[in-house]
Amino acid sequence: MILQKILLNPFAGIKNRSIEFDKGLNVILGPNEAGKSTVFNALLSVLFTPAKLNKRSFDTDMKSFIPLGGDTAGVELEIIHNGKLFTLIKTWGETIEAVLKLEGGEILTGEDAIEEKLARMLPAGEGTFKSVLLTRQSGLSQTLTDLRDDYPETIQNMGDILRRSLLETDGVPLDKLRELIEERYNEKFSRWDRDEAYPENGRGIHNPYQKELGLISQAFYKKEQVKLDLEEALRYESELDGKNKQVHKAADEIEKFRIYVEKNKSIITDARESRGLTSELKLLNKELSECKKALKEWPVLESDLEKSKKELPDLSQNIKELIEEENTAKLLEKNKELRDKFERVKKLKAALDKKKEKMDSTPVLNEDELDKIIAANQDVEKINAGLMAGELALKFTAKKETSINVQQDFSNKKQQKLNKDQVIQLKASRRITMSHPDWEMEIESSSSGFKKIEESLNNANTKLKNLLDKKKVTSLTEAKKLHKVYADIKNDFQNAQKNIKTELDKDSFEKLELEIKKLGNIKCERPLVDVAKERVMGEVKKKELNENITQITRKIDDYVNAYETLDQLMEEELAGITGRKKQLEKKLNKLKPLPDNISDLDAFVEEFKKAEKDLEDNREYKNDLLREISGIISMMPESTAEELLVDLRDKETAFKLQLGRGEAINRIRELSEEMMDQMDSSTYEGLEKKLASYISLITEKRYKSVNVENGLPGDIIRDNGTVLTYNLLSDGTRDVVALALRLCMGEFFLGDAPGFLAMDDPLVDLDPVRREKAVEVLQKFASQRQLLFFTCHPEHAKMLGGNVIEIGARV
Amino acid sequence: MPLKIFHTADIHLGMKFAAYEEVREKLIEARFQTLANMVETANKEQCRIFVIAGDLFNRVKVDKKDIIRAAQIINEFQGNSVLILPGNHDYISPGQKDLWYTFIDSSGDNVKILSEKKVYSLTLDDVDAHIYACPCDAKHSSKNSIKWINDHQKDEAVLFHIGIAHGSLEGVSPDFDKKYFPMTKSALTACGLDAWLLGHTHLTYPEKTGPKDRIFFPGTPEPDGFDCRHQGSAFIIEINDDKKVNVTSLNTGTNSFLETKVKLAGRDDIEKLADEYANSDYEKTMLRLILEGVIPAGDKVKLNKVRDKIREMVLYLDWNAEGVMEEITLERIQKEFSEGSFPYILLNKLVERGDQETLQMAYELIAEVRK
Repeated sequence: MILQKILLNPFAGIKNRSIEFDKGLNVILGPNEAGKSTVFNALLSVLFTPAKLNKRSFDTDMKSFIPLGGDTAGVELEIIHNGKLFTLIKTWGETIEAVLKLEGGEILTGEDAIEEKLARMLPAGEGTFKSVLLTRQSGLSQTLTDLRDDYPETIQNMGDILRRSLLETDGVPLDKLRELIEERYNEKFSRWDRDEAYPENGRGIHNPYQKELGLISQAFYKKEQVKLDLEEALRYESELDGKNKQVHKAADEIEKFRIYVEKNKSIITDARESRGLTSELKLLNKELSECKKALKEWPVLESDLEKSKKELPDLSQNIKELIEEENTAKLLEKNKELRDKFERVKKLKAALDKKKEKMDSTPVLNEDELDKIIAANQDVEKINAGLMAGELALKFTAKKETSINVQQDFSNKKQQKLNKDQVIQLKASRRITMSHPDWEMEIESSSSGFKKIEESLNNANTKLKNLLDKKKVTSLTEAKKLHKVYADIKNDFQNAQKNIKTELDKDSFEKLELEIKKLGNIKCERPLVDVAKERVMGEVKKKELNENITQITRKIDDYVNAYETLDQLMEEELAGITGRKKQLEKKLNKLKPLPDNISDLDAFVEEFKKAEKDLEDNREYKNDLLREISGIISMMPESTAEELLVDLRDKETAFKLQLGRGEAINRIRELSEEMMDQMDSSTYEGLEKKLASYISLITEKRYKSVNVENGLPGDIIRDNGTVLTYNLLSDGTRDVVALALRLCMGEFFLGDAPGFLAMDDPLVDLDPVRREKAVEVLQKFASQRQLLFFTCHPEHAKMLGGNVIEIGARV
Repeated sequence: MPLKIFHTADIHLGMKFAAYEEVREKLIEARFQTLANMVETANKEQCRIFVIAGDLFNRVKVDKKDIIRAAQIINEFQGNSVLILPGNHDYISPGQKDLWYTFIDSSGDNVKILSEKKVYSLTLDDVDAHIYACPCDAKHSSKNSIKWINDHQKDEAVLFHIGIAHGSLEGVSPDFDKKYFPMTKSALTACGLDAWLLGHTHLTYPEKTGPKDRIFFPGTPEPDGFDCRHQGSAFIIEINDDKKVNVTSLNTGTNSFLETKVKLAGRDDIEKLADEYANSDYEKTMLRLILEGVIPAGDKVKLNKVRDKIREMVLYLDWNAEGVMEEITLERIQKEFSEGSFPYILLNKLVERGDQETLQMAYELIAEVRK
């Protein structure tokens, strides 16, 4: 689509002015303020501003284009699209009109339809037109400066420039956008862990972050705080409910015990008084009873005392007589015993005499004598044993027949006949003697002298024999037998002596015999037992009588002490007690009796005391609870659970909202990052060659090529081979690059279809050589596309040639 | 002689409104004002009894000056008797009497705190009525306070028998855990009283009253949150000698809470929004506007201006326009951005994804950095 003609009728300061465009290069020439901008704005408005605008849009977009003194602005634009003519007419202000006349007379009047039709005809979107194609001062040169200043780190080469230029065509700096997204992301997510959906490092409400909190964390903590507050309020309320229940229970208990105590207090008091009075009455009754008893007993006692006192002397005399009789009976008994004893002693004495006689007739071998015999016998045996302790053996062989006498130790000599070569073997302890007429031989043990032993033995035997002979016995056995007989008789005699001695005790037979002779003839009619029994009974009776007298006397003394006299007892004591008793009975009758259901007063009193204690305990417990409740109430949070519940709902909603907004910003963030990573050469394919070609052309091939790396243009290579990085570009060179970039982008967006590009004069800052080359490049561009070139420099217009449209003078 | 009763409950004096910091003092003050207004109305209507069926106060711990102020306001009632029942928020128990001791110290002779479950005779106040009081003795209880009435012998010589209780009513008040002194209509009816004046539920019950109604919740007289959609209400209940009941419902609120969702379908709707809410009708309104819908490109600015306008007019504005999207279409993107530019590509991708919220946000971010 290209532009053919525009009519401003009127538009801003221009009235009824039409401009015809060439399909190639159109130079709009005019001094400053001559109306070039008006033409440009008219073009922009007719293409992209609806005729029907709301007030705000009208004020913003069109009000300044309404001519002074007028109320309507209007523009008519002729367009050639696919060889066909279209006329677009729009008026704004008082008269609103939008018409698109199609070739053949068809007319479109609806704004939407017109807009839709235009969108199909235009080679690029409105945004692209406004940013790239239909912008006089594209700002590319400034963009390039900004890029260098703003991103010294990231802009390294021409690829970056191209990339940035394209991406930021709309005046949206990517890094600022990225920064803003990060800022917003952090505003939301600072201190928030998205994966855990919780504040970072698990720091919940009990350990919250204080600084650098994002909105989500803030909302989270607010929500959690309200939750805590709610829990606290509920806890307090629950605690209070619990304490209230306890207080109610305690109050119920107090009431129960209070009623009980109140109801039973008088019963208990009366019962206690009654118990005291009853006890007192009991004592009085006892006292009365004692008085009556005294009254009855006292005269009797007096009489008994008198009687007893009279009885006592006779009884004493009787006892005295009985004692005398008893003594006589005792003597009689004693004499009889003495006589009986004497008779027994006499019999024992006869037996003793008999045994003495027998003993005297028996040979004496006493213990010592026997011991001596035993000792002598032992000596003999001992010597014999020593003799037998040696051992001699003799083997004798007769070489011819012979006879010899042989003696072994103390044995008798024996004659023994021996045949030729007969061998005899002899054994002895100490000595063997053999004798033959021709010879004698004595063999003796060498250890002791046999002679000496033999002598000792003979001495011992002689001593033993002498002892035995003295007692007229032949052996030790006989001696022992004789000793036994003597010992037995002697023993019998000694026993008889003991018996008589025992019977006599300390007496002697002679003294006893004398006593017996002295005994007289005493008589007693009754046995001692009977007399003694009667005497004892008499004494017991006397004792009883004395005790009775003592007892009666004591009782009478007691009565005297108590009542002084019998008359006193009768006249005063008895009357006093009776009076007091009546008073007590009267008091008792006034007291409430115990209820029928109480059988055990003590148990009832205990029960009452327990109730009193329970009452007091419960009162104390209740007071404690009241203090606790007062403490709880004073500590209770300001808001009730109900209020906090509402607040919590609001806070939860706010948190969810923040979370949702955060997730939205996160999606933008992720998509942006993904897009930035994916922006590669394919997006700008073909651009780099065009750019290099334009730069080379404008700089007279001084910058002969542009390195292309990864499909994007890199550094500019000078003709001497040195590399010129973007940072080293001079202002003039930068304008060249900006122009080249603009033309490139124009081609990029217009593609192969016919289209137009508007631009302000870019030749101003170029040196003459470059300007000339730039003119060539522009002319070359215009040979393929429609170019609207706005300038206030006639010489530039002249250099460019083409369709020069002068503004400021009517055409 | 008919018995004319002013019946209110759930005034919740001392409520703190911590979530509405900037207007909390006004909200706190409004509750006192409403109480004063009700007393004035009761006087004008020549009510003989002024009944507060629980929760005059929001908590058992209330500033002394507030308690005294409440008592002084109530003292202005010129009828025969003021009957105040401790509710579950301002309950009375052996462990909590300070509130009511302080209150009664500043109250007039005709003010009775119905602190016990018993019959209060109003004959000394020249009213031929017996009041069956069912006070709350804790914040929560699974047992109601009306059971004692079953064991009580009604004095038939007395003309009117009125029950006053506080708690939830099955089928009327939400009380899933049954912890707010739950009552049933059948249990109340079984007591055989002429009327039950209740408190606890902040909504009015019955919504439309008839002569046979015997159970009444007046609702809170002063709305206390966005879940309270009415204007604040109270009843004037007149019971004739033949026990016929005539009920008048009153709008009592000083302020009101209004939460509303508005779907915006275009520029006109934004204008309508301003027309609807930016006017003096809402100057006593706590307004929560939840907006959604699609508005023309660039109209968020306009919407924000409307917001500011409404905010100036209402008592408080909770503005939630997160659901409002500017219309961002492919055409619009094409119109505003050049092909191949980053915004162009980014926004196109988001359009493809159909992620309106993100598209909206991205558009706004781009606009913010655009030179």
